[in-house]
Amino acid sequence: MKLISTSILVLFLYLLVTGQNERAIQKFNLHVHVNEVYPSGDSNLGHYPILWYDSQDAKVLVGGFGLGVSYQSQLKNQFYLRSKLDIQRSRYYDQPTIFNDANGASLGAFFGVNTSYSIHVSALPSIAFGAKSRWSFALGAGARVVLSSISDYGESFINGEQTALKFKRRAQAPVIAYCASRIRFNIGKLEFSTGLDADFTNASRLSTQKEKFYIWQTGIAHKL
Amino acid sequence: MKTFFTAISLLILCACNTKEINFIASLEIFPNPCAEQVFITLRPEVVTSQDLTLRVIDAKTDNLIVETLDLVPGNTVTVDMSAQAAGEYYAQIFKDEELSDTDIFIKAQ
Repeated sequence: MKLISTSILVLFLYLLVTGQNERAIQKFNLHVHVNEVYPSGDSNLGHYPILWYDSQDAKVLVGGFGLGVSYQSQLKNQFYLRSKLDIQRSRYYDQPTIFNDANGASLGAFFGVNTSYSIHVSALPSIAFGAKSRWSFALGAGARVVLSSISDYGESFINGEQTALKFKRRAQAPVIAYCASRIRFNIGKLEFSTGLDADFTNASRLSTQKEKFYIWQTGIAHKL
Repeated sequence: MKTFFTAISLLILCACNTKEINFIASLEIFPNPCAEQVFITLRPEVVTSQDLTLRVIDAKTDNLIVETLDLVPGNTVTVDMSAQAAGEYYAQIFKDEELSDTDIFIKAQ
């Protein structure tokens, strides 16, 4: 697994460096997107909606989003390489914990909301197709560096005081490699895209936790 | 082209088909959030296996705080948390060195 991860990272860095030598068609793009994390490998983790209204707690749930820039160069005919840099917020429901008082009486299950901020770099070889080459499909690799990860369990009475239960979560791996796929559609200077980032290294750095994330993202880009 | 789009649709559907949250705690952890100490009991109504190992791990550092061998359902283990920092902790149950279940508990300030 480590060998595969290393090989893909090396390939990704190679593409990132060598791709920039092709100067036939170069395009900078500005991206904004929304994302949703689908955890796997731990059935107690859950996905957090991109945008939803929680009528029980009467609050709006705002999930993941991000923005970034990309640089696209033509490799050959319909083949392109896009190098992308994103900053992203992503959210998911952490494993629920059952709060109990000192006598063991249950106070209910609390769902921690995990909010992570990360920087993503990716290299996406793409192929354009369809009428006027408006469509393109990309499959590549990337890595995200987790800058901050916070679990929020809301507030609870601890020793008679209302206490905010918000913790920095360092259980998340600081660098996670992933496989990225995108399908895109171009109209004029705008580009719509949707795709999936699938982790191939563990999202947790704890040796016993084996969760991996699938991050679905959809967004819009503007050619600069 | 049709095959290509079918493959992409399947890829997206597979990714979206995550498991639903089905949380049945095998451990009773109290008080949670804890302060000075925490009591951990293996629920006999959920766990029937014998000779289990309980490990408490700090989520920040991956450090092992306590390990209790040969745990049987119904037993209560007391863990001293007074020296630990506020944050999340994992209580993990192992059967023959295989992770069988994980519960999270919180140490408050």
